[in-house]
Amino acid sequence: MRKKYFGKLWLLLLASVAVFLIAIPGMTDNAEDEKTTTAPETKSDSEVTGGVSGLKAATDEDGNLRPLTVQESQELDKQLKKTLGKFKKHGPKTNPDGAISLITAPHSVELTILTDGPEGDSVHCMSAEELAAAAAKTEKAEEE
Amino acid sequence: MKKMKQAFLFFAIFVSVCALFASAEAATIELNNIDDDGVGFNDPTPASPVGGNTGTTVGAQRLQVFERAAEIWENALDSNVTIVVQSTFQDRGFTPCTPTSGAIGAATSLQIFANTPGLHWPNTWHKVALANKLANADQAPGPPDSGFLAEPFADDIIAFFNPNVGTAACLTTRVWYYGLDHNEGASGIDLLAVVLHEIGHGLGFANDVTEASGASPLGLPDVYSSFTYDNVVDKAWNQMHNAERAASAVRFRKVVFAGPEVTAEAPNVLTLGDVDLFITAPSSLSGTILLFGTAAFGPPATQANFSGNVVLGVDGVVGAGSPPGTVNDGCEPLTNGGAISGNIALVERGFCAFTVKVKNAQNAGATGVLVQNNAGGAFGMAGVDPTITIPSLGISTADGNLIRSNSGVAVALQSFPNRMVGADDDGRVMIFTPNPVQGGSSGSHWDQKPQPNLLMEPAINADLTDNLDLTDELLFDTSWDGDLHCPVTSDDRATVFLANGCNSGVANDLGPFVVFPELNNKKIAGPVAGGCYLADTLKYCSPRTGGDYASCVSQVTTALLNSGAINGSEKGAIQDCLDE
Repeated sequence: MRKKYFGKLWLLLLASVAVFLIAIPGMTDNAEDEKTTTAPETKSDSEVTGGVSGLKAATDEDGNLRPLTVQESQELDKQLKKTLGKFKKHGPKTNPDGAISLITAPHSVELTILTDGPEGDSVHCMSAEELAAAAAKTEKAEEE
Repeated sequence: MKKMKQAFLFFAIFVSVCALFASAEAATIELNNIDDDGVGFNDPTPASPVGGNTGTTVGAQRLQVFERAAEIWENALDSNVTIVVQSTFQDRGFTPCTPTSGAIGAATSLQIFANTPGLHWPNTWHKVALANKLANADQAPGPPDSGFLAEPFADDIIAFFNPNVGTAACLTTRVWYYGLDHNEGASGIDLLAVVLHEIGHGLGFANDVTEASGASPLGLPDVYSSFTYDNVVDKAWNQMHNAERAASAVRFRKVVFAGPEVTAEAPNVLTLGDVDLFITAPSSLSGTILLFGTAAFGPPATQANFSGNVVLGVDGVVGAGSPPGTVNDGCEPLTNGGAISGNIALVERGFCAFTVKVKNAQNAGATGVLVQNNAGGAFGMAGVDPTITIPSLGISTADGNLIRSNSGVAVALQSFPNRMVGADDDGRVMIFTPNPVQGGSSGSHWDQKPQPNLLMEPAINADLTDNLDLTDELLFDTSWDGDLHCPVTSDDRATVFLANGCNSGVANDLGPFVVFPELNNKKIAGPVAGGCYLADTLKYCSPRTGGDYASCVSQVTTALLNSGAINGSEKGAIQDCLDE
């Protein structure tokens, strides 16, 4: 899509250069310079990297990563709850023109959790909601 | 006069070209550093330059990493509205930690918007940075917020990073790596990869769905979910009601991202040549597919090196510990080498490193190893041991038990040379939908299967680079390139066809339009955006038959008529088709 976009851009740019040459004779060299200096940037971040088999973090259950232990989940949840409790949850705002906005932070925060273990470590994402659920689950299991 | 006209024409085109350039500017990402003096991003502790990072204090190095990540994202995206990332490397309570686990980072978009100017998908949530880009104006205007989560929430993304890593109370054995070369080593945590990942989420690589319930704010879908497609029920998530979405969220490796940009780019990124693991004997089980995870050590398992009879490994030692080992965990030398030799060893997960198990099986003459999970599904195995020369795979508890409860089980890997690793048969890349659901990870990441590893997998892997792989393409699909994209699953035929094959002759114009999915056979109150063409609005009626299908089509066409998407004669043409 970016290539297509830049293609259109180039067509318009070349058209403008052509009109420029018609309107102001004798500007050929400068126009050529302009064409050179306005070349669209190439995308440097999409190099092909196929063929490399990389390290996969240790996972558990149907693709899940190593779950937190009882102590870990309870401690992390305790620390986070203490913080999140200080921030109110916002409701949606609707404008007369139909636009809707909702402040989702900080309760929508996703944590990047690192767990160390005998089989190695893993780094994965976890929502505050999931962390609380994990802690509650382990608390319930302990009670039983 | 002619020259004046030419000059005017030139001026008009010049202005339009300038306007085009203005709309094509690379994005600007600014850090709103809200840390106090002397801590976090302002930490004055001296530090030696490392891995291309020239900063001479801890704070300066952290800033350089952030700036490098911002630069990478800026080069990938266009926006005339500055993206402000409120960021802190100070302990704010959002990075809880214990000595063995902890949040190293955290992030979220501060706000989401629907129905603001320029959005292509109606009644659909967009992250604020994307809403700003498409409106070409800041939807939450104002100078950078004055402090930590301070109103009016004019910033776009908030990101936290843990300053306590490596202390006695927090991930004791780990250390942040501030180099820009992704050379973090065994104990290092690559901050650059973490920042790239977190900004990716904040820009829109995340849905707004609570996967456990399928619910979303105000019942509206988000643009990311418009492309999240379930191959089992043939529906996108924005075409489902909550219960359907919750069910889809745990269909492991059955959910894909159906964006055209990602699907087009995937062959340039993913490795071609997938493999499945089959049971080949006994005949009663032959053809059964076993899900597996791969190992980071030893040679990759292939069709050529992974086939044979499976024999349970016995080491005869119950290792002392909590929990204790087992006689089949392979943590000690195997005692049934005679049976193992020339076959594939099956050992149980737990008690020791994966590399120890596989090495013991190798020493007993095994040609390959299956490690059976001790509590769950297929799993990948980390570790390093250059002396391991046989392939190994991690399988589920259930599949391991299936093998163990039958005699004479043989397995084999089969290659699918034309299928990409991590994509379905149609080339669409898998979304992470583990069972049970992992809130925060499920739905908003790539699956872990793709090779090479992708930036937005749920795990941040050690081989990541500056490459955004498929991440920017996914954002383009959600309109980050300014265009409306339709899922590759859309019905883009020129005219609207019904399930009975009848061509209504009604032009199948570009949408998206509004559909009314049903919940427990009752119409729900709110509209849900779905599909990109008129025909897609009828798609969810397809599973129904006979009168139910006709009733559904009637409801949808009435809704389309009321919304002005079709006129009365077009509704009539579709209705007439029902009778053919």
